[in-house]
Amino acid sequence: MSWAAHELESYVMQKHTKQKVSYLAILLGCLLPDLFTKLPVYGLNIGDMTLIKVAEPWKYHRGWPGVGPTHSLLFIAVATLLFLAWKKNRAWALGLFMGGVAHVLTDCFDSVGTMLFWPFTTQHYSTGMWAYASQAGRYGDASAYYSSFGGVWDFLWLCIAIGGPKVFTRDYFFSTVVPADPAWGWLKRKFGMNEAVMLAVYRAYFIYGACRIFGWFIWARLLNPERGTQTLDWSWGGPDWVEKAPRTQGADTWLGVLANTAFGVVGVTVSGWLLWRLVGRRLWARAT
Amino acid sequence: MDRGEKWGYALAVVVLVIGGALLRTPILNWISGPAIVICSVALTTWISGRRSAARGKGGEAST
Repeated sequence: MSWAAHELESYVMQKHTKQKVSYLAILLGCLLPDLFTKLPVYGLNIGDMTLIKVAEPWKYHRGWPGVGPTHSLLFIAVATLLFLAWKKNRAWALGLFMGGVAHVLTDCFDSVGTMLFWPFTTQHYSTGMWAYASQAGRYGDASAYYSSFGGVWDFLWLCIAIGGPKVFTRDYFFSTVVPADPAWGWLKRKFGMNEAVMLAVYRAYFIYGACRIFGWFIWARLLNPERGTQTLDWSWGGPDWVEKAPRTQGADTWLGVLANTAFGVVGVTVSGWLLWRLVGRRLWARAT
Repeated sequence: MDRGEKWGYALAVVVLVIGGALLRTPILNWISGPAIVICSVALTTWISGRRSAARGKGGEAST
C-alpha cells in the first residue's frame, strides 16, 4: 500500500486534466478503496487490546474472499455510476473515477498488488517494488514502508506535485478549482468559511501528505526502538527483515497469467462498454 | 499570502512533522492530519485579523 502517494496524486491529476473536474471528487476517489475497509487491517487498539484485526490482512485487504474487489477497475466504474445517478454531476463523477483508478494502479507497486480485473479473474498484478507489511502491525508497516522503496515512491510523488506549483496558488484555486465544483460554494455557505480557510481546506491534504512522509521517516529511522534491526533497505521488494505476505491468488506460470489477463481485459472491457451503453451515457446526458 | 496564513501553514508543518514523529498515528492519520492544517490556518488568520483590527483602532484613537 502507499502511505502518502494517494493524497499527493490528487493534485497532480487535477493539474493535468483538461476537462472540468472536481478536486474533492478526485481526493474522495483516491481514498475510496480503503475508506470503509482499512480498520481491520491493523485492528482497533484500545490500551493493550487489539480488536477487530483480521488474521491475514493481505488476504482480507487485497484478496477474494475479502474486500480486495474495492481495488478493482470495475468496482470503481460501478461506484462512479452510482454516484453519477445520485449527484448528477459530471465533474464529480469524472473526479471519482480518476482518483479511484489512480489508487488501484498505485497499489500495484507493492508486493501483494491488486486484482485489477476482478470479478473475471482473481489474478493479482504487482511490480513487487516494496514489501506489503500490514501483517507487521501499523508501526511495523510504517517502519518497513519508510525503510524501503515505499518511502522513495512517496517522495517521488511529492516531487511531482511540487513540480507543478501553480496548482497550489490562490489564483489557480479561485479561477479553476472553485468554479468546477459547486461543493466549494456549499462549504463556504454552510461553515461560513473565509477565503483563507477555503484555500487551507484545498491545500490540507498536500501539507498533510508531505509532512506525513517526513514525520514517519523521522520516526522510522531515528526514533523507532527497533531501528537497529529494522534497517534501511533500498532493494527491490525490500525490506528483507519484514515477514513477507505469502503469494496471493494468481496463476503459477506466465502462460496462466497471460490467460487470466486476457480473460480479465476482455471481461472488464465488455462489461464496461455494456455499463456505459445501458446506463452510463444516459446518466451522463442527464447530469450537468 | 497574508502573514497570518503563512504562520498557520508553518505551525501545521511543525505540528505534523515533529508531533507526528513523536505521537505517530493520533496526528498522522487522514482525518486529524488535514484537520490540523485547516485549524492552524483558521486560528492564525483569526489572530492576525484581530491584531490588525486592534492596531487600526489604536491608530484611529491616537489621531
